[in-house]
Amino acid sequence: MRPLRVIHAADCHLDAPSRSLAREVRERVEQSARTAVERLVALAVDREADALLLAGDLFDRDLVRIPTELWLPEVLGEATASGVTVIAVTGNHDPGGGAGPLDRIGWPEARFHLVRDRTPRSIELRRDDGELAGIVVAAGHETPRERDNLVATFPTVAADVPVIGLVHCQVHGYEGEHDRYAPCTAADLAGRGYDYWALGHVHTAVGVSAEPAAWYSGCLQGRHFGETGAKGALDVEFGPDGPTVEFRPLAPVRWQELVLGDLDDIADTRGLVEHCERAFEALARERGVLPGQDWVLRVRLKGRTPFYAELRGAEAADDLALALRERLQILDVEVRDEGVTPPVDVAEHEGQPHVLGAALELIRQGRFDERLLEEMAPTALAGAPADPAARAAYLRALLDGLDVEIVAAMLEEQGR
Amino acid sequence: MRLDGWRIDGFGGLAGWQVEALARHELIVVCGPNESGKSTLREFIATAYFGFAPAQRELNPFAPADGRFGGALQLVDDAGERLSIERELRSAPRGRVYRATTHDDLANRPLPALAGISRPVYMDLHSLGLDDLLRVDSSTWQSVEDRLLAGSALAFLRSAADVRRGLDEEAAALWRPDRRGQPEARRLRERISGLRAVEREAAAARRRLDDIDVELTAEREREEHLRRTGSALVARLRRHTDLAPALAAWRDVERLRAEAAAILPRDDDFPGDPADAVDRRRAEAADAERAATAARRHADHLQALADVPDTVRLLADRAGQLRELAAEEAGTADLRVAMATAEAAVKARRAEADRRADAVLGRPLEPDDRAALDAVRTADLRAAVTAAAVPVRRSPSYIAAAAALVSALLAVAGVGGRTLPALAAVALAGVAALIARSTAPRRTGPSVAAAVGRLAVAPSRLAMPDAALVADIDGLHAAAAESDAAAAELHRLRTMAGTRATRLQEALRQLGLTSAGQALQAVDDALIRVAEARKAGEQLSQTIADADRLAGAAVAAAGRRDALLIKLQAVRPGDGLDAAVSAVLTARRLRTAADERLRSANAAFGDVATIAAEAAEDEQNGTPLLLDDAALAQLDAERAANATALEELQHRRGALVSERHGVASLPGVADAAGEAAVYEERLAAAEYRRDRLAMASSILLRAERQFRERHGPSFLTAASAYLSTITGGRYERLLIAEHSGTEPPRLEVVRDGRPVPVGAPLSRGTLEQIYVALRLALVDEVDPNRLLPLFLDEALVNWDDDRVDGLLPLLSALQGRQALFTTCHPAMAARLGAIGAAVIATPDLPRLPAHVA
Repeated sequence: MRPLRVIHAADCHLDAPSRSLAREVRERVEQSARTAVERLVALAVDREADALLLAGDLFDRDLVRIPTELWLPEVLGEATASGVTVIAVTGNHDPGGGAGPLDRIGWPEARFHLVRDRTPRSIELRRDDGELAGIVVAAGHETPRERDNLVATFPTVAADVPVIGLVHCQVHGYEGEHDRYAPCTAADLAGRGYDYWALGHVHTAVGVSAEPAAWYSGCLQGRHFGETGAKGALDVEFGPDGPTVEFRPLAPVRWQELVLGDLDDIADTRGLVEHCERAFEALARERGVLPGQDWVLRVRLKGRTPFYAELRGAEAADDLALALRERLQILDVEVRDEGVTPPVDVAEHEGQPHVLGAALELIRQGRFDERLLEEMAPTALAGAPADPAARAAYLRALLDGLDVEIVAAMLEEQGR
Repeated sequence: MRLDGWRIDGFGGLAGWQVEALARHELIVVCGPNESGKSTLREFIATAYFGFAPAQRELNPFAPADGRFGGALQLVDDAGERLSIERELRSAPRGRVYRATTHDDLANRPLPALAGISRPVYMDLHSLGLDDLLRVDSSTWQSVEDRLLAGSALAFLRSAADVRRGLDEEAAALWRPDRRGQPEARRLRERISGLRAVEREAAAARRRLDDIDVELTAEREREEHLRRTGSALVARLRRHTDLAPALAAWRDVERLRAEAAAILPRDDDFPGDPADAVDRRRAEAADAERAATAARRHADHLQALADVPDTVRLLADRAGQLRELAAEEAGTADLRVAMATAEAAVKARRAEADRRADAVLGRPLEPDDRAALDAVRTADLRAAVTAAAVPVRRSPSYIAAAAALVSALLAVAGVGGRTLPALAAVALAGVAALIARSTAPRRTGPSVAAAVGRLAVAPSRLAMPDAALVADIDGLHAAAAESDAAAAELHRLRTMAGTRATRLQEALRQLGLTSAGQALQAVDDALIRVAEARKAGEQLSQTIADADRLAGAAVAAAGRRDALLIKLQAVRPGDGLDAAVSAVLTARRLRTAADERLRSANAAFGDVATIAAEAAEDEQNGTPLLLDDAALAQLDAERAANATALEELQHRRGALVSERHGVASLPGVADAAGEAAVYEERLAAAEYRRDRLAMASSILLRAERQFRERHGPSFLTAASAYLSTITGGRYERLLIAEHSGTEPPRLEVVRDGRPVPVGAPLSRGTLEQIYVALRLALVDEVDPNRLLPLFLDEALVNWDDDRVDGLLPLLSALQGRQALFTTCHPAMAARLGAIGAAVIATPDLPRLPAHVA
């Protein structure tokens, strides 16, 4: 008997906005989301997968574009026509309750299941010869804010074939920037007899649990610098020793941050561009980089450099970004000055009897003394959160690297 | 640092002015009238310290019209070393400081020993003009205060206030808590707000797009319905207008057809001219009947010919036999002749055989001899005869002897010699030997008797058997054979003649004929008859078929004739044929007229039958095709209303399409959202950056305050002591009431235990004294070690004698710092000179500065 194989993907967020000021980039990323889905289907067909599992947030919002409504069933139909069963559950971005684009789309008639209600239901994965290869138990979100633990409603199962749980949920400990919808814990996933949990919601591919195997596949295509690195799907084969999971990069556009902190020897723009080029080339050689990969790169400049004065300011960053984009021949580049400083030695001034020494001492104390930090904080803050704990964390964050900046400012030549 | 002297080569109006040996004096007074160069000296000293400002000769207000621009300032440093600062401005500023054994190039840089004191600070603290004594310049105050009160005088540090100011400016450019200005955050928020509005509009537009599509679909359906209704109304009107003639035509057609049907209910399938057709069919029937009869007759005739009597057929069948028999009968005479000939031949052959038998046998040939004769083998007989014939075989020995003799003779006679007779003898001996040998008796072969077998050959012939015997026996054999053959031929002929006669008689008997001649005639007749019958038979089947076909045709023609007659009679039963024909022709004319009407109507209106059928259906459905005036008016009104509704709907639809086009061309939701998200990131970054800058500023301010608190009291104590000294204790203390930002401090003096704000209520002299005291304290803080000389240019002009007196102990309190006063009052100079001041008179002005000239 051929082992069960499924392709696990999630968070396609079709028609989602891409965070860029360049229309070209936005259009390219939007198109790449579709290309990623097409690659996903091709992967399922090529790998002769029994099922393609989509763990929620197929769409970003209820405003699905008409071309998407027409294109999606066609591409999914290619999978079902090749014998791949497609099972999609709804997530917080595309909840199944109420009328919406899910009702307008002409989904494939055979081998396709859209699970849009929160009650788990069981779907058999049968092959053309009638052989039962596996079972998928799936539940979807009915509302945009599902607060209940959906995993806890999944039945305990026992079967001779692999059983997979498919749900869009937030496992505790993997929140990141994500809202806590359908919250659960890793313990909730265990003890129910499932061989594999195909999860969606977290946009980074990560294993949540080894026993049972539970994975977030991550989003299919990054859309901003919060979704950097390779994006794709998980290729899961159920062998005698349990499932083996392999990540398959699929996203045509890769968002990536490049932190350039070692700038001591950089003395001019050319040196910085070459330094960045070397760093990018190293990045492009990493595993998971697809041939012909498009890049949207954010270069974060940090640290000491004698060249710092030329790097400060939005105009300098934009000019450098333009130069890098032309040099690296990639889709887009953004340059951020995140604390480029002159080559100063903070320790040299710490404890010294002058105002700078006092300021450095205050910064040092402020890192540990919340009351002092609050006293030192400006009366009006632009970005401080209201929550006291978050405000304290924000104030502490303001001190990061501030000693270097103050030393640099106090040591700057007159008139600068 | 003490001032020892100067040499002014050219500076403003001063030139060639040299003063020396001042270092030992604590107080120096330069006295001269107004415009005599006292303030110019102040600038010269500052220039010697800090360099030319500006450094371009043509721009510098103190550049002389010609000659050297510069001079030297002699100083004694804290260690007692003398140094001279030489400055000159030509095309470029030049500067050099000379010590006892070394010198350094300064170019236009300040004297290194002054590090940490800028020219403005010097000019505001150490070198005072009359106007400077009413205040402290805000920037100077800030700078001095920063150094003295908030950070000590470290040359490598920027002013904390400057830094904070820079930080605050940068922070304010990013975000402000108030509504002033247009900081980055505000612009970003406005941009985000705009984009979010666009996004909302886009979302609403997307939903509106859906609504419009729904509306358009409904409108399209409604429009379609109206169009259909309108089309139906128009079609109905048009049908009424256009098809009424068609219906009239159709009704004509129906009328004509009805009239025709009344005459002739069924369709007219009569021939074109029925009467003529009747005649033609009658004639055709008669002709066919005749043809059929003739054919039948001919068939009967052929049938009769084809039927042959048996006797004739028998004769014909046996014609060959009969002819053969007759021929045989005719050939009997020949047969007889042949038999006679054969008999003669038999006789002749038999005689010949007997003759030959006689030669051999010695008697005639007997029948029994035939077998014996046939058994004799001629070859054996010939051999036997040869063996028995001896006399014939002796002749060769004579010949041989003769030959030997002749040879010997020939040998002797022809050759000669003694040896030849011997050779001839030998040859003859040989020949004799040979002859002797050949003539010796030999054994005989088979005997002749045996060879002739049982043939009774005459003994005589056997006794002398020879070749003739053999030839005779062969001849006898041949003759006997010929005799047998002739006898056989005769027998054959006789048998043949008998057989023929028998057969002929039998045949004649069977046919009842008597003679062969009669039989031959009968045979000929029979053959002719049979030939005729065969020919008739060959034609008969076709003739019968033709007769049958013609008979059928006759029947058919009669049928057609009868059918036409019956059909015509049915048209007008009992009225006769002519009436019927007339009725048919009338009905036909009517139908033709109907068809013609229909054709013309079809050509004009289309398929009028279909039109009529539809009209009938419409009629049944309550929408009669033909309308009366009221119905027409109502229909027309409905059509007009429909057209109006359709027009309104199209107008609405056009508006919807236009709106849809506009909505669809708006930026997409994702477009605006994506852009807004970036700006939100930038806003967050800007806010973070602003808060960071504000935090840095706040921390610097706090650090600054700490220093202020630490250093402030000693500074104010010193200033208060100076003030008290100058005012003779009238004013006890100097306080800083308030200070923030970049504004100069608000000062207070305590008099009689009460603070008095430093300002308008105080006299000018008091104010000057307060600021002098303040400056002296500041100078002490700024310059505690280097002790740069003070320069007070006409500073005491508003001071009363008591205050001037008060200044003297103060000067002693300067602890080694020189003070140079200028005054235009010789009395004041004298007063100061009396207490030990070095008094110097200004030189006459030898020339005017360039810019004055």
